[in-house]
Amino acid sequence: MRKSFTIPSVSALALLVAGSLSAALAKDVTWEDILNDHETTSDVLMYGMGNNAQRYSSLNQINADTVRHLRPAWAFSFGDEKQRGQETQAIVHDGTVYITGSYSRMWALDAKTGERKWKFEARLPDDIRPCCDVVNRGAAIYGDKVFFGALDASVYALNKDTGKVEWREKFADHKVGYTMTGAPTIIKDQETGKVMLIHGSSGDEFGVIGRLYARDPDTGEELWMRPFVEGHKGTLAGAESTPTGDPSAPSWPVNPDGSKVEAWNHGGGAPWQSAAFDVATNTIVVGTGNPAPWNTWARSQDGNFKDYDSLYTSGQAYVNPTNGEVVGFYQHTPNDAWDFSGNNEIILFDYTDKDGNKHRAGAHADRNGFFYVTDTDKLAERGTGINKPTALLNAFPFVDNITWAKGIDLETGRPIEVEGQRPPLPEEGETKGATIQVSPPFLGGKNWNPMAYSQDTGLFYIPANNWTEDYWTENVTYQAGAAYLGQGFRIKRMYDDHIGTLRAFNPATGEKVWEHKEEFPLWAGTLATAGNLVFTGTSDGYVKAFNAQTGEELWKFQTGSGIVSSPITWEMDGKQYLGIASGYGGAVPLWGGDMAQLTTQVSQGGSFWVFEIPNELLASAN
Amino acid sequence: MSAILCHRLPGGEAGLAGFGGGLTRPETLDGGMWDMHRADLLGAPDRWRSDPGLRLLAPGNAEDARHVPILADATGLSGVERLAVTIDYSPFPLALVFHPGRALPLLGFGVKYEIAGPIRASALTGGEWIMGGAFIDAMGGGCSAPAATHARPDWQDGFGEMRARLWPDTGRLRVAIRHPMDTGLADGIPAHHLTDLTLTDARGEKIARLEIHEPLEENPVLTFLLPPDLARGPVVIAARDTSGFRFSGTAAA
Repeated sequence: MRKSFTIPSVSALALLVAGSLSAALAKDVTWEDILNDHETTSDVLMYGMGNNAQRYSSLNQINADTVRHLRPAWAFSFGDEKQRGQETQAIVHDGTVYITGSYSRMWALDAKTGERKWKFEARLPDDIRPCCDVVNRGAAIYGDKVFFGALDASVYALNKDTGKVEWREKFADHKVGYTMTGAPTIIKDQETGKVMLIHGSSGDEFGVIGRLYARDPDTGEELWMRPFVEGHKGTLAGAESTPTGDPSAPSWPVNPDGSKVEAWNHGGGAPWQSAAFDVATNTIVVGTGNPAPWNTWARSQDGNFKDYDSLYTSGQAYVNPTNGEVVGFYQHTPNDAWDFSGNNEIILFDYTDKDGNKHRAGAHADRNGFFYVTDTDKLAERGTGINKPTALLNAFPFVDNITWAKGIDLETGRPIEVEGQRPPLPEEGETKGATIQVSPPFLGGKNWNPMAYSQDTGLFYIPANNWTEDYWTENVTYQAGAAYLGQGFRIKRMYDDHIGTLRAFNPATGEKVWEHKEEFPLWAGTLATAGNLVFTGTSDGYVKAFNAQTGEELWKFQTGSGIVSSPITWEMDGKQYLGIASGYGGAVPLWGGDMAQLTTQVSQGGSFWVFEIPNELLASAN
Repeated sequence: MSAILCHRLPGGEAGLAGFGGGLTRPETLDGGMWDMHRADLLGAPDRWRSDPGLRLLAPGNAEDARHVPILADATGLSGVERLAVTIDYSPFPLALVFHPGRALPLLGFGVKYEIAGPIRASALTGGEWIMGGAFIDAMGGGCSAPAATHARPDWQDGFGEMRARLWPDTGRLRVAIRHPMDTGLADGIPAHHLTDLTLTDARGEKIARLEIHEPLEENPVLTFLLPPDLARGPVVIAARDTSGFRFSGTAAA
């Protein structure tokens, strides 16, 4: 019999921040391992294959002579019928390959045999909102944990040996458009001695504020957060910190009543690709996303866009890891009207200019079609103004027929815009503005797929595309969780014979040393090696090797689905291996307009391929 | 032997009688997967027996293969270190391991049933395993069907909500958690289930711990029995799952 005096108690859901410090194992990853990642050949610990993101390996067993003997060593199927685009880059540590896949999955594989050690699959909500396919670009590793982002705007830390969740942090609301696709990176703040996990958010197409986060890798605790829309406030140590730049946000227009325009509240700028880290100046270097909405007039004051740059979007940001303050910024596309974004990787390298002067520099191939060389020391300098348009060392076009700008003014650091290239507002009573043609299209002269820098040739290898688009404005109102563009588009061909073009550029002269054309758009990353080779993958399924000096195609292998991932190479027991994921998807088949004629020819897939030169062929090759 | 306490739960002695007293007839259960599971899951104990101090109440027939209610009562035994629940023909034979600690060795729960067969609760006491079991007939499919919540647009609505109630006169504690308890066998739905739940007192000291595996039912309801000194609470309930979600709440009389 029930007693009537009992008192029911109610409990609510609580997601706790709870850390678990695991006992150190013999082969844990140290900061020194990560610091040296770009020089060590037996492991690949970082997205970009090192803090400098150069994607260069000094291995040369596979070289321009021996590459013809390259054969598959093993392949691993991601399975689950969850195929979609595989845009990932693997990491390798202590005989294990860690690879992420579509729909926020991750596997640990025996690097020698491909045998699966463990699998982790995030349980995603049904209403995630990735703009451009359910991709994941890779993981980070530190201590006894591997880290990766999930599409529901959360970050996972898994035990690297068991795949069990050590911690999970949801950083934003996926229902309004926040998500995470980029690989996190590990840095060490030299001021505090703290190792930090750095990651960004995605979601510019849904009108969210782009944010960069620093976390304690042991517990997941948020150390700081930095938004990339001028005047929005960050966090530090669990409390509100400073606004980004000028609190009055003069680069964003105001309403007649003096309040900021609607766009400022949803301004974009998401740093959705991976940060590089400049150890010399203790500075995080990361690209920021496009402003939201795409429609330039929503971010202009009565048609004046020239004085409203939409800071700090579509540029490269330099962030102090100690407190999350922005110390420098260079904007590639002021008041970006074309969704060029500024996200693409910034490769840190030693630059010698035409006059023989040496600089520590960042290289960046923007979606807007221009290649930028920026001064790392100037941009990382503390105590100056944030916006540093004159920190530019060189800029030149890397794709054909750019229409929106004649070039980048090396004195002012700003683009020389072509009039009439901002899609005009709809006429009175119309719902769409007049259609104009713009090159490159929003998918970019180059998109997220990273380029590589060879320390041997001094050239950058850019997986670029020659294409164009029709662009028009539409009326725009913000609705949470809906696309916030104010613009319509259709991607079109520029040439009959190719879209993709792998190009080698000299950063000092802007000279195109060679190019290799591809029928399909290029959407895979690149890798340069001391074997005088450049590797990449093609959307029609080939992994290919090119002579780094001449561009001659030396080897190819068909993987069965399109390749939109980044290759890596490592050495194990005296042998060099090449690893790359296959599985077609990404933004092109979703948004590529006329590209559908090509992309519908590609089979879906999801697998990781590893190549080697068989011992007997290696012996005969020597 | 101390008194069997399950008669103090709703239904009382009459309810107990309806299950044949929950007594195990070992001769009907010394077969199936018992030898193998004893070796694999219980650490190969060389000795085992049944004992009227351990009762397992289970329906003879599973009306709903996704919700088969079970009550394991080892309060008739002394010094129970842990209570392991195994299901002979489940794709996941280990369902739960209960470490009663300062709670009484009694646990009410529901399981999914994939195929007809025995369910067993084995209590470790004084280095000896005492097994109580029952045969459950079932149409099956409980582990491979999608959770009911997936028929709705978003399983995250209400996910993780916890409700608990403490009856101070009996020490009965009931905890319910909204969780799909996905086994990973349903098409296109990855494994996502609770992995452990702990009860702690107001001073943060552990009362009891439960290791949870795939067979526990969707939106599980768990019944514990607390001794008089803990029966007024507050009791802090904390749980986590395979995806790193953490849940917590407090129950007080």
